[in-house]
Amino acid sequence: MLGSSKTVLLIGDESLSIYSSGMKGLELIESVPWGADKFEENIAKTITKDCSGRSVVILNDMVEQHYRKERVPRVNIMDRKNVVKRKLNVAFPNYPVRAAFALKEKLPKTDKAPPSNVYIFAAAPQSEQYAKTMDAVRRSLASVTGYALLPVEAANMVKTLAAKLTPKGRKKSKWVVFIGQHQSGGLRQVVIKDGELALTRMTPVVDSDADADLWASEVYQEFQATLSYMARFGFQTDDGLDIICVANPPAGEILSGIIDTEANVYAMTASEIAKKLGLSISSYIDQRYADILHAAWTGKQARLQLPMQAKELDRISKPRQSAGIIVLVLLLSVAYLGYQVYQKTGLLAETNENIHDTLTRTARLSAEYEEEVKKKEALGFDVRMVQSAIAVKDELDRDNIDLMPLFQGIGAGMGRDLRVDVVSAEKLKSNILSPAVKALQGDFSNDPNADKNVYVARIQLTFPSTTDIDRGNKEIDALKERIQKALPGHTVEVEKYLKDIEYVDELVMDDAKKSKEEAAQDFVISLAIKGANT
Amino acid sequence: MIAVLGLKRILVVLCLVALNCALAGGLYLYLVPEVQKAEKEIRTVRSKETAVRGDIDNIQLEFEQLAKQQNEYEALRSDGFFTNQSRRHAQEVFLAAKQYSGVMDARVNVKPGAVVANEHAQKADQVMLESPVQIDFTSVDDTDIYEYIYYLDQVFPGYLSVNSVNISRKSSLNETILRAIATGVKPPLVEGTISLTWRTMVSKADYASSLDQQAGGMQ
Repeated sequence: MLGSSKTVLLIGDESLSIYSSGMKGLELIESVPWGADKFEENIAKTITKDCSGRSVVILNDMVEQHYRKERVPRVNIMDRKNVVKRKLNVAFPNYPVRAAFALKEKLPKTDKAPPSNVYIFAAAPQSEQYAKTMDAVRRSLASVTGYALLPVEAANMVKTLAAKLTPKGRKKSKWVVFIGQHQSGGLRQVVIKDGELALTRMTPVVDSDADADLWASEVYQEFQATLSYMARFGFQTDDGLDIICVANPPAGEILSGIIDTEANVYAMTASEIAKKLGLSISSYIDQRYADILHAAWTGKQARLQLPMQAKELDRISKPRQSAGIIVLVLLLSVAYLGYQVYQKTGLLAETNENIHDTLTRTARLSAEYEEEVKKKEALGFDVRMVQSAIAVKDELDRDNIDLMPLFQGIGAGMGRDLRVDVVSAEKLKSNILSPAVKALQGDFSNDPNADKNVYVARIQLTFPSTTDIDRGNKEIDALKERIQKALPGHTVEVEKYLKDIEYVDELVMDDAKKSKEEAAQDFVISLAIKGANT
Repeated sequence: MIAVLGLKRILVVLCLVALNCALAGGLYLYLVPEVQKAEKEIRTVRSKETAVRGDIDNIQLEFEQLAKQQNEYEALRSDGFFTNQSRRHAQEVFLAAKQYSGVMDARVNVKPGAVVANEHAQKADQVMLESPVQIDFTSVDDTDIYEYIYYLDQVFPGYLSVNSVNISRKSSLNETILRAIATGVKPPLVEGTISLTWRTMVSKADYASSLDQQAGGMQ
């Protein structure tokens, strides 16, 4: 990602121009000839000091740039990158700084060729200028966000500008020619067709517009040459043509007047174009130069249209970008941890203050209590001892199995006819569980006193094997009701009714001669009584 | 690496790493545990405050209520709740209970007592003495065992908490047993076990002096 505030290095044939954001927008900091003494060192210093070490974008504006329009057979998305890379290697084997850019144009299947995508293959030489620029950037320690070719990046600017200049209701022109002279003296013409780069030319013209007629006539001649190239690319007058020229008003007016081609001609100053594009550039610049517009446009873009691939660039940019990401992550982490520290420190201070307040209150209350104790002791009561002893007894009572009322209740329920075989009682383990946990454990009982119960008592009774099961069970239910009535606040459940011997029960027969009735086992029933001391 | 990234950038990264470490260390090794500790402490002091408030409310009772509490306290005293758990006296009570109830056999096991923590006893400078007791019975009739338990409940010094009880009939009356009873033999028809805890509350001073006496006796 590129930020909006960047340093732009414009590599020209004569010099390296450095653009950076100042108080009044983007401005030219310095143009340094390639042959200058201590070139790399001085450029690095300028980037670090005058440009505040901002991230660097490098734009190649040299004459020697190579473009080829190539068709690449349509393959699946997994293979596409490799196919394009291989084709690019074949197209520019001697230029390691290269890249490919897919155009909207598609070629259908023909008898001789499969369906293809159309790419612009671009390459730039590893010139001395390029090497010096990379060395300077490496020395500056500024992060590098990309290296691009000016005409490719300019195509989008020209497309946007043409769209803004076209009045509403008028059909957009198919061709747009952007003409702008650079500080190096060269005239850069960028031609786009249907919004995509069609061709570009960099030619020398007179470096002053003091003689506006001379300047306009030379520019016109170059434009005518460009028109002839455009004709080879299929330009026809009916397609519609916009010509945008960066110039001072007098020279611009003369140029507009002498262009005899059927076209919409716009001669504008650099500031006027910057305003149209929403770019912020310094108003002190010479209004006839266009290179600052390219620098401002590229510096503002979040992504480069065609970032060039080069090992030298990767060696510098990737570690620096990684370091930038690490710094960002660490800063975020510091912010988070700092906030947490601030929050916890506040909480700790607040809690400590509360502890102090509570201790003060407790000390005051204790003094009050001691005073009350003394008053009662004066009346003859050892209040502390009495209340402590009673509290201890209450606590013991709560945890006890008070057998006498329990036995009385069971006895009252049994009456005269029934006889208990086993009576037992034990304390329940404290298990205050949530309904969900109980359900998970398979306990679906609906006893509202379940959590309050302290003990469980069990009684077992034996019924002869000759007992009628239905009648016996009715008797057990009646016994349960009687015990429940005799022990209010308790829960009585029948754990085992009279029933036939099941597979879980044990059957023992030791005398084969006994009759069937004698051999049958007695029924054992069981009741559970859960409760707490009242 | 330094040539590409620059010393300044590396130092910035190192400083940020150090700052992160310092903040994380301060947060997770000091602040978070301190906050947890403080939160625990505030809960403790608040509960202490509530307890003192409760004590004040209790002590500010009317005179009649205090008199009632005093009676309850006196009843505990007469029940022997404030004694040192004399084993000799306990032995006498167990023998008397056996005679009173008519159980055939009652095998009593009183384990050595121990001091246990009790918040209420602590407030009055008292300690709680606790001795586990187990009694195994055999009897002709289960009512004898109930009588035994009833006697202990009424007479035994201190507080006897019942932990568990189990009484079961081992055999039913039949001709053989009836014949044996007729000849004066008492066959054991019922067995039982009861597990109890004997508790009393004694002053710290009394408990300390009893320990001193025991130590002197052993010498």
